[in-house]
Amino acid sequence: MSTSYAYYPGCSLHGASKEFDMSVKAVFGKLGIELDEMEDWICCGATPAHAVNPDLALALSARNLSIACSMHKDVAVPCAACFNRMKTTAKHLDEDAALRTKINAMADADYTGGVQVKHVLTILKEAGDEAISKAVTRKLEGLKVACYYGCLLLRPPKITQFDDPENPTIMESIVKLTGAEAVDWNFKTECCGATHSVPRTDIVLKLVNDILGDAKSHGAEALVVACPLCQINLDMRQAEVEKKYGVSYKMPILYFSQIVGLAMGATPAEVGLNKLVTPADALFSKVA
Amino acid sequence: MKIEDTDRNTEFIKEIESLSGEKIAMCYQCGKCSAGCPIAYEMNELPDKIMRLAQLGMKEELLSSTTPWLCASCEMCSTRCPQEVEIPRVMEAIRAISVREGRQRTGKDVNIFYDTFINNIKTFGRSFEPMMVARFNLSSRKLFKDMKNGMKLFTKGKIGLLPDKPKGMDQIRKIYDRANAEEK
Ligand code: SF4
Ligand code: SF4
Repeated sequence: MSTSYAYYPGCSLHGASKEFDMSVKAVFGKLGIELDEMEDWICCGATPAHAVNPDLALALSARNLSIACSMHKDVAVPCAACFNRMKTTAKHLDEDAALRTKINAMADADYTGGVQVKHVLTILKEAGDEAISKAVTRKLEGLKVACYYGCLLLRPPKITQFDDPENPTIMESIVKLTGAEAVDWNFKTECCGATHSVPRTDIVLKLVNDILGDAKSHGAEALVVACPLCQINLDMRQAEVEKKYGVSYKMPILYFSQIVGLAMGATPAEVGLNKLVTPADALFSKVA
Repeated sequence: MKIEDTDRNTEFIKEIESLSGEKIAMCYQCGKCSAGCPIAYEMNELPDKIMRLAQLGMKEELLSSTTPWLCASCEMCSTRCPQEVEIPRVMEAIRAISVREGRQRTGKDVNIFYDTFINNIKTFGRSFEPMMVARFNLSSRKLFKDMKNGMKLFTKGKIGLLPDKPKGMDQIRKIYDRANAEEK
């Protein structure tokens, strides 16, 4: 197993989702897995580039893959959207040499193939339950969370090859090692409508209300997520949802790496707990 | 409505198939896609009906439907489809044809959002959220939309005032120009 990865933070982690970046680095630091940030990575284009011009989407990711290639490392990606785009591109370019030549020319890139694109959850899981348990210094007993996967990590399963698309369990298995309880619930693979967040806010509010409502009714005190788009949607839109539907959730939306980091002895500041819109401090003062 | 076989716009079917890479006839109308679609509640035509309309080559009905613009590309339908039809690719194809024929009124805001996002990364190489939302609001004439949420993120130190640009912006712009030239 490679213990040093070409790290692709992506735009969200350098922008509105800094705490994901901070907490991933904290956790990987505790486990001794090196994240070597790619120099001059560019935006992967996310859903819009793909929706408007598929070649452009391939070219943007090809450029990033080419950087990893020159580093002779596999790629570690925290953002579910970037992971999905980059893995899609790697698969297409690895399987089709003619396409690879065309896209390389378009992107001024030199991707020769064979780079593995891994989501940070997969890397964490591969580090092994034993290594994770050993690094846990503070058990989060009494904390009940719902693990939420959303779309982009799981689907399409033929591309992402991430986990069982109908009943993924990787996050639950990691969360349990921290001593927290992962509740059984119904909405862990549902879409939160992230792409519609700006243009069609009404759709997002309904989907977010369905997700939070189900988590709450199954006893969750917080949601644990692995996607910056989901996190922002569920966190930032929560107050609007509460107002529109006359409900109260006050449900913190944590990155899995924040909860794992805290269990491994990182401070709340180190995992950027104060950056969440819905405060999570009360949750952890209870278990501290 | 009575549909004669001669009403089938076979050119249009071929166009959808070539843009989406999907074989439209594969769909056997089981309805599983619609059963799991999270946006179904908002759609006037459900995903299985879009597939049926496509099989029948009913261009007018498809281009005036809001469904392709509401699809969030969440891939729930395609993950479950027993015939492995990539329904979101079909939705994309219909959107692309609407745009080309100047018919995108039905999904105007979604379209403006996509364009705004892409221009944003073309300018900065990386996505700079405040500028993107501001430009979206300008183009869609919703000037103060999401101002409050933006302030929330700003006060949390989550968004800055200046974009974070990679080196080699000239080259990045070249990628866009080449990809656009290919499109035409
Ligand atoms: S799930 Fe597939 S086969 Fe069934 S109706 Fe939808 S597209 Fe057709
Ligand atoms: S991809 Fe589109 S049509 Fe399919 S389930 Fe998701 S929103 Fe519905």
